[in-house]
Amino acid sequence: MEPNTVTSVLHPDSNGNGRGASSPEMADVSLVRRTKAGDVSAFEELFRRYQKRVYNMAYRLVGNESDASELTQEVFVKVFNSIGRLRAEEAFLTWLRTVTVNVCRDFGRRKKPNTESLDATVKFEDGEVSREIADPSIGPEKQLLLDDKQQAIRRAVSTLSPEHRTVIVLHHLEGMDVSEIAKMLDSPIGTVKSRLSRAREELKRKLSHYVD
Amino acid sequence: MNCEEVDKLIADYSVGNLSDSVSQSVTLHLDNCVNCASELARLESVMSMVVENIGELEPPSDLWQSVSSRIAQKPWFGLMDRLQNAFFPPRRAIAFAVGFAAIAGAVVLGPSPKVPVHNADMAMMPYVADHAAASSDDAYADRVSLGFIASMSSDRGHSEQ
Repeated sequence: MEPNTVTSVLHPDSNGNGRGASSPEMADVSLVRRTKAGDVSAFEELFRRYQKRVYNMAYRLVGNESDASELTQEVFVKVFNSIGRLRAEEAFLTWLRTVTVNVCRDFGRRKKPNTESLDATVKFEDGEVSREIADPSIGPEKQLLLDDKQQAIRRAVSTLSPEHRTVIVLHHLEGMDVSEIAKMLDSPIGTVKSRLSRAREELKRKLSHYVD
Repeated sequence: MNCEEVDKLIADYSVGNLSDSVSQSVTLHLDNCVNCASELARLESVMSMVVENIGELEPPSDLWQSVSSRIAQKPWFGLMDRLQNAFFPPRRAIAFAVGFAAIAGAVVLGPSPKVPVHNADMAMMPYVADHAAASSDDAYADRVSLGFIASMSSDRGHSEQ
């Protein structure tokens, strides 16, 4: 991600509209301390700063808006209830990202796969129709051609395995380096690099026709 | 190293997941092979395209209302949770419990000294009893205090006889 993009998403107030703090991290520290003391308005300010970031991260990790909305709520409720445990107040953002990843991973483990029968009919107000299944011979690569570029990219990311998707989101979209990701996921650096490599390879295979 | 071998390694090469010697061999090949170099460039272009075009969604406008109502459902706006987390984070609570159990076990199971009960000990009786009662709901109830009360009751019974 472009460094400027990361900064603008990271700290929506860093573009000069000033809230009395010398840096976004300092402002976070102040808000975290006030939240720890029970100031809900300070927590609301933290929420306003980071809700979009958490929501988009959750969306990219779980692949749909409804779940992303529910998980964003869960992240912030967890953050509010356990903020007393955050010792390094200046590292609030890192901690917030870790909570988000953990909440999304737990959700992925809980979620049962969709087991609808392919033979079942679909009920509408004016009757029933049999289910139409896409021709698998088209293949995911050709299906992607039918989408516009942004849809194709989202689809390609969402169809990665959860492990591959997580490292792509953290490294390329959250701007974290491999050692930070390894620490966050409690995985060896080599494992993170391997997952990143396979995920990048898969994205190249699915999307390379868009860069020709 | 030929093009086929490099093609298999190029994704690992791009994230630094190869040993130094293999990585040097790939670099050497890329310096002399336009096709493989363009494959690496294509990989990086795809990743740049993903980052630039994935876009951002706007979260639902009522998200804060949902969060604040979930927080408000907790008594004291979650204050009890936060106090508990502040003073008894899990690791510290576990360490405390293990340490206490070890000391209590050593005192209760170890050889008990034959110390006569003095008036001063009797004066402590209400405090010890309060302490034992306060900790009776705890998973690690204060068996030391309960044992002390039992021994004092026993000694008092003997002395009354």
